[in-house]
Order: sequence, then C-alpha cells, then structure tokens
Amino acid sequence: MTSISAVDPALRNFSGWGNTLDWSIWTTVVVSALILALIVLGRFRYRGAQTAPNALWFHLVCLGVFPLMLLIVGNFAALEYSTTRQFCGSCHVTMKAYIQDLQRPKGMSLASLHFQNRAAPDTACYSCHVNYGLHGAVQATFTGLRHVYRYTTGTYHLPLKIYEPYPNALCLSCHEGAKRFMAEPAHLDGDRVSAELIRNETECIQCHGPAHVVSKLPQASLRPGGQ
Amino acid sequence: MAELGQRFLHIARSGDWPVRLLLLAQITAGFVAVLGLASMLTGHPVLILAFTFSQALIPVGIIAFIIVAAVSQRTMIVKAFDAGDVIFSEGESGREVFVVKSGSVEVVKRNAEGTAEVLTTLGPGEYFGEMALLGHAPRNATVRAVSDLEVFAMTPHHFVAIYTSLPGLKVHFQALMEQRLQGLAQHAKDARQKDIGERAARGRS
Repeated sequence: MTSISAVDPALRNFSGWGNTLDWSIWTTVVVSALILALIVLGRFRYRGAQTAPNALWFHLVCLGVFPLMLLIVGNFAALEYSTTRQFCGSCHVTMKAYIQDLQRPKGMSLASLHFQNRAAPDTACYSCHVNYGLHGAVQATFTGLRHVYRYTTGTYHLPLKIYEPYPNALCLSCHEGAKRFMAEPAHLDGDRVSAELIRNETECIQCHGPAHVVSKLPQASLRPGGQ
Repeated sequence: MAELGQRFLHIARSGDWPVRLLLLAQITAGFVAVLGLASMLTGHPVLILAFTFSQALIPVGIIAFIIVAAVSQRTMIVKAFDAGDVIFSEGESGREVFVVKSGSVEVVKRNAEGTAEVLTTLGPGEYFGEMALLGHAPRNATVRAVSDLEVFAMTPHHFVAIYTSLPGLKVHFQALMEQRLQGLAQHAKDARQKDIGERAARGRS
C-alpha cells in the first residue's frame, strides 16, 4: 500500500522535508491511528468504568482533542489533495489520456506546454479548470463531488465534454500584463486588453489551441453503466 | 426491602445511558479515523470523498462526549466484572455503594481460623458496601462476583442526591446497617462459641 504522496514524486519539494500536503497527509494518518489506538486502549483500560472521572480525562484526548485536530488537518489534506493532478487522474479510465497528454515531453497542446513550462505542475488540472477566488474553489468542490459520484456509479458519458466555453478570464488572470502577451497587437485595443477577449467573444483557444491532444479517447466505459 | 431495592435499581438505571452515549462518541470518532487512515494511505477518490463528508460526525461525537462528561458527575457509573473478580476486599477503605444491575455476588468473611465463609449471595436490585459509606469504616467483608457482573457504583455524592428522591432511604440504610452489624456480631459470637466448644472437646480427649 502506498501513501498519496509516495506515488507522485512531483508532489515532493527539494528540501527533503516534504511539502505542506505531505505534512498534512501524514499528520492525518498519525492522528487517525492515535484516535483508533486510544479508543481501543480506553475500552480495555477503563472496562466497566467508562464514565469514571479519570476515564473521562482519557476520553477527552481521544474523543475531543484529537478529533478536533483531525477535523482541521484532515479537511486540509483532503481538499488540498483534491487539487492535485494525481487526484484528477485517479479516475484513470476517463482521465488517463488527458494526463498522458499533459506529461508528454514533446506535446504541443496548451496543457502540455503549460506543464512542460512548470506552470503549477502539481495542480495542473485544478489551476486551469477552476475559477479564481473563493467562489471558484467552492464551485470546483461541488463539481468534483459530482465527478466522483458519476465515476463511481458509472453514469458518465464519453467522450468527455467541457460544461461551458472555456472562460478567457482564467487565461488572462495569469497572462494579462505579461510582456509577451502585451507585445501582441491582436490581444489589445490600444494599450488595453481587447474587449472581445474580456467578453469571451473570441476564445483564447481558438488561436492557441488545442487545449488537449487526446488521440485515443476511450470510446466505451469499462465500468457498468458508463456510456 | 426487595421493593425498595427495585425502586433503587430503577433510579440507578438512569446511570446507564451515558455509557451508551460514550460508546456512540467512540464509534463516530473511530469511524472517521478509519476513513482518515484508509483515504490517506490509498488516495482513492471515493474514500477521500467519504472521509471529507464523515468529518461532519466529529462535532456529533464531541457533543456526545461533552454531555457524558457533564452528566457523569450526577449519574452512577456502571462497572463490569468477570466471574471471580473481587469488587472489594475486607479491611479496604472505600466509600462506594454498589447496586447489582445484572449477575450476582457473594459476600465472604474470614472467621477466626482464617477460613472464608460465604455470608450471603446478592442478585439484581440488591446492594452492598453501604456500611462503609454510612459508618466511615473499612470494608468488613469481601465481595466477589459469582457470575459475570454489572453494578452501579454510587459515591457519597450520588447517595446524597438520591436522598432527595428517596427520603426513606437513609432510614432504611441505617436499619439495614444495624441488622447487618447484628448479623456480623452473631456470626462472631457463633464462631467464638464453636471455637470454645472445640477446645473443650480437645481438652477432654
């Protein structure tokens, strides 16, 4: 059995101490194990006197303090992990082709170019497919829940399609103001970003696509119920 | 006495539910911890999803624990023993009264020769240990579980609280204590007479 971070070296940093995600994952593992161990120990040690005063102090640790820690660290670990491309790629039947395209060394798709240029390599899917701000994160969480449900129950449809036209705002949030972007007259109205781009009347990927090059999309689901 | 004992047991049963509530808190915390371990060690998206949702149970467990901690000072503690376990020994100090919830106990006292004699056997609804509580004296007999046993342990604090709901309890206990003291005195007297008789018999032979 491997841990979440052990299977993906890209999630590690160079310090050797691991990143925030590593720490949150292992803290969650340790706290969960401690809770289980202390509950079992408490059942035996205070057998027949579970509500005695000294037993309650013991239970305070394993039913109060550690669960609160788990609530904070566990939520952080789960939400943070759900932003990684490894998590997106874990629905491998449908997403494997996209992850392979992303990681192709000589890939020419937008996703591959961004990945090769190390633009948020750990969270490649999340960074480009989640609207910015708190609203975007919340919306992405619910969308992710729906994806997991669809994947688990096999109620998804192939080929996968994006819900809505890709918003230029996601591209502009990084590229607007960048030297190379601003040097291209097609992007501008005078010295400002083109209103056409801002209003999504012209999509960035019309000129810079394709976003993904997926040659062998799975045509049939390997899961019952998938279409 | 049996009727009063049953009423006493009825009141004592109110001390049972915090133990169940605590078990609920342990089950919820344990369930979340299992999902935490499984999801973090495997990275499976469904387990991560389940772990995320299951964390809503943590406040439920904490609230259950807080309720248990708050009421346990006012309710009696249920203690469990295996057959043969000693609940308390003769000569020990202790101030708890025990009410038998299920199972049975035997009250054992050593005679002058050091041999253990069973004075009586007590079952559900009957209680023991009250003499140490009222008389502030060491335990004057050993009590041992005959079968798997569950008892409600009542501290002086609980005992005082129960006075308010059972005004006749103190009078009853005092009467019972006198009765048991008389029984013990009679037991000692019988043992002494038996000893004297045996010595006389040995002298004649």
